[in-house]
Amino acid sequence: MSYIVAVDSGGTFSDCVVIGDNGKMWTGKSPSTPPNFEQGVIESVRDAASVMGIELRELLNQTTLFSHGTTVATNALLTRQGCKTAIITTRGHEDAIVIGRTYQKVAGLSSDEVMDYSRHDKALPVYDPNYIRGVIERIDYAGQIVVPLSFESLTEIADELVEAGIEAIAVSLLWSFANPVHEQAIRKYLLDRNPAWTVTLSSELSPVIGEYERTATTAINAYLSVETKSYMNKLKNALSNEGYRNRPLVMKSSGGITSIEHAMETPVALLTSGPAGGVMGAAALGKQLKHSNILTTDVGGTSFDVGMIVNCEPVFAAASVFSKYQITYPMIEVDSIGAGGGSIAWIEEGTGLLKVGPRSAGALPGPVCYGRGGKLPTVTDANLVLGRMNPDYFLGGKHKLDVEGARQSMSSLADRLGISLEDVALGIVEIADSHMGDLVRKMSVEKGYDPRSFALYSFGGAGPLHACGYTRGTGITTVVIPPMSSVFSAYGIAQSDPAAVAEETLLLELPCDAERLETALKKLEKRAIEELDSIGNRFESIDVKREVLIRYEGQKQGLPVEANLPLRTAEDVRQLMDDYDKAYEQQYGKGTAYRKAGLKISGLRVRVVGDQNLPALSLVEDLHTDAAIPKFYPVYYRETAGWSETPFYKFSELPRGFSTQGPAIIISNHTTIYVAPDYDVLLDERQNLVLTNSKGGE
Amino acid sequence: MISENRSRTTIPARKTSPIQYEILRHRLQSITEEAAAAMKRVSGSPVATEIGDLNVAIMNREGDCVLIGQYIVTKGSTLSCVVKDVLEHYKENPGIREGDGFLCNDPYIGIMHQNDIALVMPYFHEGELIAWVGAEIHQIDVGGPTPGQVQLGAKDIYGEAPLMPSIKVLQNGQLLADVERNYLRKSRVPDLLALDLRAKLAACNTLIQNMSLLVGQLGKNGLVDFLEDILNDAELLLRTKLRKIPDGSWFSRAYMEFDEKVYPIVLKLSKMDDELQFDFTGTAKQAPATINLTYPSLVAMLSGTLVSTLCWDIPWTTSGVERTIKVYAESGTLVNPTFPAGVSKSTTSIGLLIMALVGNIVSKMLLASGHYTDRAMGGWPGSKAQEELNGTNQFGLPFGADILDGMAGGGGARTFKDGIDTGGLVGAAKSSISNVEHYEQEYPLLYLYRKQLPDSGGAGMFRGGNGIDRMYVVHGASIIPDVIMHSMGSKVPATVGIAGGHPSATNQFYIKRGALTDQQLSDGEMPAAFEDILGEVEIHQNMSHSYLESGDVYRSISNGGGGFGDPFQREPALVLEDLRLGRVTDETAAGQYGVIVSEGKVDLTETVKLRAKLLQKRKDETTAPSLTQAPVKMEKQVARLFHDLFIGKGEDGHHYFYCDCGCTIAPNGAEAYQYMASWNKSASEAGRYVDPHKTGELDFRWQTHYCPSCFVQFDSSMVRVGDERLPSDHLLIME
Repeated sequence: MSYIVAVDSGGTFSDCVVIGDNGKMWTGKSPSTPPNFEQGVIESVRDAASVMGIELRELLNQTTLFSHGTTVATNALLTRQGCKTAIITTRGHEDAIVIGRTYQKVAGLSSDEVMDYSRHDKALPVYDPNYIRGVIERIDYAGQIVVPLSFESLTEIADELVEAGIEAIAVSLLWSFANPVHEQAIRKYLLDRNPAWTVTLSSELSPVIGEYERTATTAINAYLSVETKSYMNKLKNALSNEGYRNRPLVMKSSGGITSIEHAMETPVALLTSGPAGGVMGAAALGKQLKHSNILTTDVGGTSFDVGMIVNCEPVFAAASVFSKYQITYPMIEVDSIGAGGGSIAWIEEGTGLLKVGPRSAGALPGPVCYGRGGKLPTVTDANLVLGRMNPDYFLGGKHKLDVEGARQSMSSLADRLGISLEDVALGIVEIADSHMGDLVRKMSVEKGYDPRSFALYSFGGAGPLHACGYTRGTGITTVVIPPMSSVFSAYGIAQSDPAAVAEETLLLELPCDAERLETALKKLEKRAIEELDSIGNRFESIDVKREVLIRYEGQKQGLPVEANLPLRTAEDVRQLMDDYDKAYEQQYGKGTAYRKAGLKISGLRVRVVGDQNLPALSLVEDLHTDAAIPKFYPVYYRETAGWSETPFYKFSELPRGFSTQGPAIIISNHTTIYVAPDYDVLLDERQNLVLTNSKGGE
Repeated sequence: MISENRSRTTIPARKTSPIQYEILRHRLQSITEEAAAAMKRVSGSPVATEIGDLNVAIMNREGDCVLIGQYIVTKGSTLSCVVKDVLEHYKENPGIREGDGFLCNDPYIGIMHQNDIALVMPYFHEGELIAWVGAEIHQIDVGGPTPGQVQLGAKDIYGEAPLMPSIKVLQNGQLLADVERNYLRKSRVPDLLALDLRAKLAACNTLIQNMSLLVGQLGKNGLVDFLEDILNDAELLLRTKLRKIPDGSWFSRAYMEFDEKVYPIVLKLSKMDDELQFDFTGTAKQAPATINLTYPSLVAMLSGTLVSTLCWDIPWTTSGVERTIKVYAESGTLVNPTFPAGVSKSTTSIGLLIMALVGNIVSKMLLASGHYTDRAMGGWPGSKAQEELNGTNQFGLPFGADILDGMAGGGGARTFKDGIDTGGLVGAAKSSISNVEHYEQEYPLLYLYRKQLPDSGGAGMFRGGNGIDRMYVVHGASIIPDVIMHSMGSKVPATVGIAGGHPSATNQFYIKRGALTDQQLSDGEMPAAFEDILGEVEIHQNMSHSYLESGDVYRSISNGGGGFGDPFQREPALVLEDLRLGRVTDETAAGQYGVIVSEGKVDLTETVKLRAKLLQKRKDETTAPSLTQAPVKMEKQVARLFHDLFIGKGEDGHHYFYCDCGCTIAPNGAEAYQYMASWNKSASEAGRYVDPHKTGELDFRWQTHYCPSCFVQFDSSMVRVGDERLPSDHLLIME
């Protein structure tokens, strides 16, 4: 027997998924152990091994592929625990990252926070503010050298950085993506000077137009380099000590796995390593279930993450924001708001309106019902008060929940609103659901897609409890809750192939010479395949996806148009332009295309995926055949304005082909699934629960 | 003219349940974000895509503005005026039907100036009009004698860009080809206008699609009720907030220099119970063109400013806010001009200045409140330095550019920390500045630098944020024949401090001719400062039309934020930190803050000595108060006027102004300035970049007021030579 092992190490838990070469799957879970995250990683594998009934060493000895999603880079960024970083840029443009296009002050804020002017501030620096240095050099828009690089000024800067004990250096010059020679010369000089420095070049990391975002991306990469490298080495050692014999691979935010060496070089690529795993998991599952358009939703204790799959491919973000910095690195788009089981309910002064979040009780003290000292009512408490969670079955009955405490925490809200305690709880859940639903809708609508053509996948600890609620009003008819929903990101990582993305800014009037475009695309393809080859695995085949970003003259963002076939003739180029017009009107509405303005290519992107021929999950054979016998408990409903006896099923006891109509509640070891009264539920042959509402949840 | 806004004591009860209301409020907010995002992506103009000089709004069936997006506030609030105009004039002919859309740029209807083009569309459900949506973007050129927006030399509005009162441009959701053709024909950049028209259409379509989803959920009446609820709620919340602030009156004044003349704008804010009165009496007569602001846009501007300064926790519902204000603006003045006075540059001349004035006066009111003191701020930029370029670019194509780096103004100081360096403008929360690379990609420019300018924020106990400084040369073309530089506040700062804080830098435009050739650059010459370049400085003022040739170096400085509190009260450690990071210079550290640093540390002994010396100078140079008040022991603090000036109840039972140092200043209700020491100085003493070339030396003085005992700086303002001092702010405290 050989195994694939994947671990997603998040802020609170490390989740492990093991898949055997026969397609059988086991899972494990263990608390995260910052700052030594590798310990939690190993423990989660040990937990899975114990479920399998074997020793950790035995499992790792037989593991052919270990893939890892990690929060180490994100954690170091959020807590500002990166290394001492300097920035070298073009003289005169030292303030680009400080000014942050002024937008930095509101980047990533919720709309309520944006309204609060007197509380805005720029980002906390990820660099040493005393060491942003401008070197004498200048390249123009065409890549022509206007002012040659002055080694004299570079020497002065290097002297200072040595003196200051700088550990990592981000080099980001104006127009470096159009001509990287100065950046390359600077790196050579710096490494000759001090080989211990980590040097990141913007022209390699993020060769795209826009000096602020490019510099921010480069600076964050440099800032996280030391921490990431040290963690990766610790992990490698820990795994090999426990018996793993191959090189571990790491999940990137772009949804592919890569070598640990490459991950060390590009920590900025790991910022959404875990959430990207969730989206890739949905893509893998979607292939089995024949869903080509999927909205992925992950509800944790503090945040709600939404991703999107269109035509079986994950949707990439045009720009992502981390700690107020805008980053341009290819990443699967995962939008997030602060809403989850821990979100706190409160009443606003003046309006007397019930509000939920954005403040969260977090893991500590957590919801009132956990009995760890939480006093403020949370969404989890509301679910408990409504009877949707059963106090006796939480985490398989290992942890009793305090219903009375949860009720009491809501009594003052009930008094002030003049409604019953149950109606307060219902209000809390409905408001949280609607905030989540708004993000689901916004994500699809903003990109020009109709949510009604999507299936919604729900995972994360609290997702299945809220899925019916946040789907309501979006028009989505199908909701899928996978059996491994509580470790879904790890599952996605286990199902991910090695992949690499290469992109660059290329400004070209259309129609253009087909050969020139083809050459540029080929060059990128080569770069991406080189990265793939560096992983050292053998692939069945390599899938290449090529995209040309096109826009009207003057517009900023291009829309990606597929260019997978070789471009040979003027006709091929014209086809691209026609495809663009179609894609444009699909996104912005009929009548918005305006060819007269002139079309321009703004960039290219190539994504390559190496097919490893991963084992598909086998169908679960040992399902029960006996009808499941539910127990009945009261649950509170808006529809009946009161309590109704509701069937509670144990997931482990559901028979093959199980189906029922809502309302119903299904309890598994790690999660609770709420089937609203207007939904039907069906257990499919892979043990996914499929919830449907013919009216689209309206 | 007095606007009769309805002042109501009873606000109808909310029809939507509290839980449903919270759900829908959030939904509506996210709908405006989606629409603005769609508009930004479709637009072909960097003004929209990079800068975000745009907005959207949702209005009820009467055209009252229910919610604006979070971009330029006035580009949302003015949309309501267009809808009301359409409703008033076009109900019968040409009629208002489903799928219609109306375009408008007429400032006398309520648009700020001709370059802002609004599109509004009715939303019908089953044949019944139930709401309106709208979108607005600033266009680089819509015609007129001069390229761009600033119509220099215009004698009236007929000399400016053409007017377009509301006109039907969409029918059955289709753009009307004849109307569009007429619209595009007037512009120098018709393709940009065409794309932006489609961008606005995309925004309106997004809004309408979402409205129909809402109707699907709530039913028609549910939606209508909900829109009404938001309007009422915003009004109720604002009135509740106002009741927590003491009644009183506050005064502020700004000056516009234009065409060799100075135009004062005077504002008195009176807060009575739950209502605000804005009185512009004393403001200059209207100018022939360019810098006036029509009355409907004035009201839209006021409500837009108030959402930014008072509605940090209230939905941005400008029409709801307008119900709580009264506006007094005499006809024939700058703020209520009579047709055909021109207004082509109202936005960043008088418009921004009034936003700053209102921001300042509202901050003074908040400072007095106790409840909301931490929301008061030093002034945000009352102006920005901006240039418009027209010519042929490096690709041989005609171009029109609006260089909006000045949007990175310095934020006003807060009462608890410094203002944000290059923090933007008030009323433009999500707006941005373009990357240098995006400008250089489209226009024939090479930026030598773009950086934050040390010392440009107003000094104070907390300083204003620094503004932006830029220097560039022409690159890839031999000449840019039209360079129009415009701003306000190049002689006298447009951005003021609060409670003794200093004003920001003045806006400045400089050119050195033939000072840096391509050859010099390729020889490795790369000047880091304008001063390092040889050549004579050509100084340009507020509104100036010039050109740039290859080799000419252009430099411009734009406003920082205003300071808060007396700079001598600034922690020396903060000054040291600023010095280390290049946010202030040694000159300012010593001259404005009285802080001496040596070997990377604050020299406390020397600092104490210097501060004592500077304080002594205040004592020596100030004019003594004309009236004095005998000391009275204070029993309790009742309210606050400035940072160090309070109103207290004395042991004799009467109320007094008193200083933090214990000195009783004046009886409450008296003209407090008469009891303070005062000093009229050269404006350039307010900061290193305040009128550094002393171009306004003969016209303006910097007037400061001090405690007659401890000489802490109570407040400071700019006064034109010969103008009366403004009355002092006062609170109505019941004896």
